[in-house]
Amino acid sequence: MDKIKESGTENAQYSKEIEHLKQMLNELEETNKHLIAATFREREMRKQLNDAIEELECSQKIIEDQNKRISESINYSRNIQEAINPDEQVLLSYFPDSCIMYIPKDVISGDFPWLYKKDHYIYVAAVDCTGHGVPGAMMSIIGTLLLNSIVGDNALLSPSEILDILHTRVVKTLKQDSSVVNSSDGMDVALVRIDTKNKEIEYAGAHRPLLYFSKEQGVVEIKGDRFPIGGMHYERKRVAFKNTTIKYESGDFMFMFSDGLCDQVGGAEMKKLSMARFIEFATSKKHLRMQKFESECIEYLDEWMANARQVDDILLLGIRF
Amino acid sequence: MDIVEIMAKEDTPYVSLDSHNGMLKIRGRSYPENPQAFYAPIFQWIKQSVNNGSTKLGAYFFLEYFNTTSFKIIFDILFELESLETTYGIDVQIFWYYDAFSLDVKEAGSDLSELINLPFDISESSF
Repeated sequence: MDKIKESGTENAQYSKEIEHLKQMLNELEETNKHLIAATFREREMRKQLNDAIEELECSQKIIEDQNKRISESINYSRNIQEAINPDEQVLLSYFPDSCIMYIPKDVISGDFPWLYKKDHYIYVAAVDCTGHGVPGAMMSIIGTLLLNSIVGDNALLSPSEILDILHTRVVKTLKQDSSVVNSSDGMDVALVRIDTKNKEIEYAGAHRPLLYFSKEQGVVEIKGDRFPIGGMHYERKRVAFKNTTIKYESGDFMFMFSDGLCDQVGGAEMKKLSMARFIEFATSKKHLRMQKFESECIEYLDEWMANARQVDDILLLGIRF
Repeated sequence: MDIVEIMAKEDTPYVSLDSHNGMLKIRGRSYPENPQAFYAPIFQWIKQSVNNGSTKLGAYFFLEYFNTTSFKIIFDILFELESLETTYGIDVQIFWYYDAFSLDVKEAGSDLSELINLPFDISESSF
């Protein structure tokens, strides 16, 4: 009896265990199904990821190709701009102690130096066109060609007369007097005519000053007129440009520059370099020859900028008499 | 949509356009590659302020640095504001701030004040 009872209990235990095993098998099958599904999902995701990577690589290649084409086009236009701009050697042949510091923000520049000799008069200008890069460079070509034709085709003109005509011509060229065209582009100009025979400088400025250093008076900032070349914004108050005449002595020197120089942000507080700081720097380096001044000025600018980005094109013309 | 705000970036200023209180504020540095595109919403907002039935508008400029192209656009903004007053009789007042280190910003403000026929307040501010 005891044995039968025992085997009865054993049977019950077996069937319990079988039940348990069945349940585990079910769970395993369930898990397996999930695993298979997950593997499929993973495979699908991997495929999607690969597709996305492929697409990205494809776009990257398109961007690289476009970038290369644009860069090549701009790099080539740099050759044209270099050919148009005056050669520093020519300025040096007129004024042995002089420099042209030319630092475009991009490959091509909206700033340009301009130089023109007429008899014993030498015209020198630092011109700062609106914009930089491609639009700036397009404006700079308009500026160079107009200045060449104004000075070349007329009898001897004073700087203020040149600026007056230049303004009218820029307005006309860009159709700024028409109500249809909405262009306010133009240029700021510091322009001198140097009479090498009578040792006299005549200066006129459109929004750009002349910085003059003489033994007698020290440094003088001649501000010029407050309106630019081109654009209709100032028409209400615009009057003719004015000339300032300076008799120069040997050893005197002067600078003309674009606003990119004094507007460059930098220093510990990311402030603008400012005219005051530039005058201080230039005064401390007044014993240097212009070529040396230029390289020290570039170093000074680099130090000032540190990690800041160049905000605009930079141009500085220096002449010592 | 009473206040539209554009956050400052490295080369563009902070802009706030508040139709409810008739206030336009521009603060910071402005030297974007394409200033016309950046300032387009401001021109749109000025045009809209006519439809809003505004009677008063204050424009506040706290500019630290701007390139020449941006300056010309600021000029255009002021002309647009001027026409709000002359054409629609909206009372417009300009407030121009400069910091002590940026005397050129002060000068630019005084140039603008001579060319724009609107009440023009120029004052120093640290920002």
